[in-house]
Parts: sequence; structure tokens; C-alpha cells
Amino acid sequence: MLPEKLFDQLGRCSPELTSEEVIKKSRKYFYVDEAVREKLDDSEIFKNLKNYYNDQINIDYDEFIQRISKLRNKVEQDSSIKNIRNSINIPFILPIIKDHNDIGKDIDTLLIPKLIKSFKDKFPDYDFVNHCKVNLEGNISATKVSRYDQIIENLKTKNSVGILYLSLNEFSFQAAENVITKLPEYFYLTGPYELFSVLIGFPGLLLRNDKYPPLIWISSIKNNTNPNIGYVIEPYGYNLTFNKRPHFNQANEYWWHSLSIVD
Amino acid sequence: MKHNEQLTLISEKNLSPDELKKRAGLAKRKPYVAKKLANINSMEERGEISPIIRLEKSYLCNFQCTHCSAEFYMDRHLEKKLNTKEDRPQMTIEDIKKISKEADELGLARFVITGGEPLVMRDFDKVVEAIDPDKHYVITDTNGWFLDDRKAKHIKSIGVEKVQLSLDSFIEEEHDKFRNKPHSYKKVMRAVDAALNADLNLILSTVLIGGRGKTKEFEDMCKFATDRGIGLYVSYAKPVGSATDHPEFVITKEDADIVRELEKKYKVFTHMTPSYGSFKGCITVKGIITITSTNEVTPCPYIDFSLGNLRKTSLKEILNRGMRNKWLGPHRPDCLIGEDPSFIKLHQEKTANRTHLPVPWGEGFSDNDELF
Repeated sequence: MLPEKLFDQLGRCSPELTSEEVIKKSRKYFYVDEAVREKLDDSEIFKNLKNYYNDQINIDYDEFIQRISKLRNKVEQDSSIKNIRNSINIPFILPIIKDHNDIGKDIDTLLIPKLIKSFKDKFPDYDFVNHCKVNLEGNISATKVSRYDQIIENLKTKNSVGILYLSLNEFSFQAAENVITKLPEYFYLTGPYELFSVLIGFPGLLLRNDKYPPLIWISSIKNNTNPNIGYVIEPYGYNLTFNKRPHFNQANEYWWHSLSIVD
Repeated sequence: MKHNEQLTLISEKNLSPDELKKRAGLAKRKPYVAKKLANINSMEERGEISPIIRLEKSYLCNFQCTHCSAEFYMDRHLEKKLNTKEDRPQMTIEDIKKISKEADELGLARFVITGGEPLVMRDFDKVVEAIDPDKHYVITDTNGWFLDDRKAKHIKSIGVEKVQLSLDSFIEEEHDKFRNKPHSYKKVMRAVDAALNADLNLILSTVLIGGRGKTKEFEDMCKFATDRGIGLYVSYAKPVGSATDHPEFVITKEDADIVRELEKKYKVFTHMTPSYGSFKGCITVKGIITITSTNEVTPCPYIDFSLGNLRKTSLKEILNRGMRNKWLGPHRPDCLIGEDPSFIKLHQEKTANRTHLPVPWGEGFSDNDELF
């Protein structure tokens, strides 16, 4: 039986939703800086996304705000999930990619170059570093359970607007994939398009001076050759990195997954 | 070994011409060792570990440094400060041969002889022989006092490949004061030349105490090392050993981040710096273990909790204990004993009234450990 509240007061998904590996009681040692909540500014996020995606975004600011509000209301109305709004959550727009045919290729040729530019413009002294030196084309696919297929299909024709919730902190891959089957169908595991869009819109999300922020897995994708290898965005000092690493379905207080919704 | 095979062993991306040359030389002289070193990245990608083994056969030392992590293991501390003696069985040459064999069977490739000061050990040559330089990459730590041209050439001739030389300030008086040894700075500078002349691979090792990263002295040292083509290994000060009474030595994230930025400009690195495709973060067990003079295995040079004794438990099982431990196994970006206040407190509480370190398996670390 599911607990009455699927997310706790801090917006973290209840570990009781799964018997897979989760750090049940978090000591909140690796954490996104709470101060980012005050820095999150929808207009700034829109401005950045429009600036870096350019003609791949065809909606204006008013429409963006309207669609985000609609999504927020949807979450608000469900008493079992509304605590998720207490997690750090960031709105985004997915670009239109008319010629999309491969996730790896999009990461290499579109998402990483855009994020490098956005990050460097915001933080000229620091860097976004891609540690994956091999070509990603043909090497990555979406996991079936992530509900990601529909997101990808929409990429070719329209701008989806959505919200990313950092709610699966300290969950393993298996636990993240398991809880998605128990949440309303409009939730899915975050993929590269949403996470990169969030960071292009708000490049300072994972920077903090006093303590260590977490590593964020791109939860909905896997390496085609080795399913134990996933892809991550990880801070390194004041810099950001993209990399791959084995996870073996382990839970780790430094490893976070996330959920997204789109309209 | 055929030329093509040698090239395969050294053909990693992002290597400097200097590093490529060194690896080619090693592949020619010690093909078995070079092959094991080349395998480390693929082992890590498969989720396997390949820790460097630090061997503390003896704690004898001609220095008495302000920050020494091994001070509490030394006879002089046990006898003069605690009025007790080391009465546990000591590591023998036969123990080292057995450790070398077990490590080789696990694909491990690197040994560091440390101490104390390794170059005062009378049986240093026998220790190198027991490790077996044709099977393992052998490194020695040193304070440099005895590393002149003759000694450097000798240790190279018996199979040592690399020297890690301690330098704690680029200001002569400060280094000598920190090390409590007049003229030690000059001896380090002599040792730099001696190691390079003997074609030993050399890195300088320095301790970062809180606030040092911002100083001109530290950047001068980074520049000196880079100009000489020498790597500068930065070790965070830990609140253990002689430094237990110096909580101000513990660094902040800001200190660590300053070094991370200097890595872009200088040949400087810490134990958590990504290198040659390896992104381990904190290297406890995953990248390093220490074997004390009583054959106890600790997960890093600064954590005084044992994961087991090699006379009773296999190296393989001890590494497994470490990897399934909730503090040690999981990937993390910070230094467990140098930065995590909860673990530092736990460590201080459990070591406070101990005379003989490390704390045995089951009393410090155990299979029941939780993060709370």
C-alpha cells in the first residue's frame, strides 16, 4: 500500500515507495544550496533559453509563464504529491529538434555546446568540461521504464514546457525506475534534454562555496553496451562536468536522480 | 614484447609527450607492470578497484614533523608519551612477499614504501625485492634528507620507479620549522636534482593546511614544480597524528576549490583530482590502502581504523569489507577524514583513548556501520 504522502516536507520522494536501494534517512550532507531558491527567476531562465536555443524556441515569455503555472497548479491539486513543490524545482523549455534521430548525437552536437556557452557567459572564470571523449552517437538509449519515448517524439514538432524536481536524492537507478511506476503517469525520469535545458537556463544550479553539491544522474538514459554505465552532470569546484560512470544500481548520498513533468 | 604491443600499452588519450615517453620506457623495461597499469582504467570502468598499496614496514624517522600522521604509531611516541611498547607481531619480509602475491592476483599494480622515513630502513633493498619490481610499480616516499646522487642511482638500480618528496613550504625557514629540522629545505632541493639525474619519476608532496591555498608562497611552489616539469601532489592536512591538536589545519571547501582552480594553470593535483580518465573522488579503498607495521589494513593513510589484519584475513576480503562500508565504498567528491565533520568527530572519539593504532576491525569500522 502506498503512503498517503508520496513526498516528504522537503519534497523528497518517500523511500517507502520502493524496496530497491535508497539511502532511507538522508543526512543531507551533499545538497543543492538552498540559496538557489531565491536566485531562481523565471524571466532570467526564459531569457537564457531563448538566447542559447534561439529559433529552436518558438514561444514567448507570457506563454512560458502561463504553461508553467498550469503545471504548478496540476501538482498543487493532488494532495498526495503536492509536497514535491517543496523540492528545488526548475522550469524549462525543450527545444524543437526537427532532425532528431539520436540522443547521443544531440548531446554531443547540440546540448553540450549550448551549455558550454551559457555556463561560460555566466561564469567567465570557470568551465564546463566534457570528460566523455568518445562519440556518443549510437551509444545511448532511453530506458523503457523512464516514460521518455513520448518526450523524444515531441521534440521534433513542438516546444514542451516543463518542471524538473530534484526529488530523488540518494536513490539508486533501480529505485528511481521503480518509483516512476507508482507515480501519476505525467511524471517521468529526467533525461538529457530537460537537465541540459535546466542548466542552460540556470547554469549556477550546482555551484556552491561552503559545502558540496550532489552529482545529478541523467536518469532516463543508459549506455547501450553496458547498462551499468550511466551519464552524469557533476560539479568540480566551481566548474561543471559531463561524464559517464558505472553505478551498479547502488544508492549513494552523493548521487541524485530527478523527476520531470511536461505539458 | 613486440613494438605494437608496447604502443598499445601506452596509447591512452590526453597524455603529455613527457608522460608518453615515461610509459614507453616502462613498457620496454617492465612489460608486465606496464600492462597492469594500462588495465587500471578498464578495471575502474567495470567497477573493479585498483588501490595503491602503501607499506609502512617501519616508523623509524630522522624527522619529527608538526603534522605527521604516523607519529602515534612510532616507538618514540608509545614509549615516551604513553609509557608503553609495541608488542604486536611486526611485518616481516615474508609478509611482504605474500602481500605482493595477493595483490598481483587481484591485478593491483602499485606499492608505495612509506613510514617513517623509508630511506633510513636498513632492509629497504630487501623490501623492494620482496615487493618485486618486475611485478609491481614501486614508489618510495622520502623527506629527501638522504637522497643524494649516489642514493638516487642506487634505488633506481634496484627497481624503484618513482619518488614522492615532501616539501611543506617554498619558504626555506618555514619548511625547516614545520619539519623541525634545520637545513631540510636545502636537502629537498638537492634531492630534486638527484632524483631527476637518476631518471626517477618524481613528484613533490606538500601538505595543505587551512588558508595556505591563498598564499603567494603556495602559488610560488606550484610555479616552481611546473617550471621543473615535476608534479606537485597536495595532501590536505588531517586532524590525526601530530596534527590532532591543530584543528585550524583542517581545510574548508574554499581551500579545496582554490587548489582545483590552480590545477588548470599548474602541474598540481590532489588525491581526488581526475587523472588519465579516472574519476574516483575520495580514494579510500578505491584508490589507496595502507598496510601498517602490524599488517593491519587501513583505508587511507590518515584513517586509524583497520579493515582487517592480513595475517588473519585475505587482502581480497579486506578490500571487499572496505567497499561495502558505507563511509568508504561510495563515490564522493570530498576527503572523508579531511573534510567531513561527522566522520572526523567519529574518528576522534574512537581513537581518543587508544594507545595502539589502528583501532581493530569491528571496533572502529565494521560491517554494521551506518552514516548516523
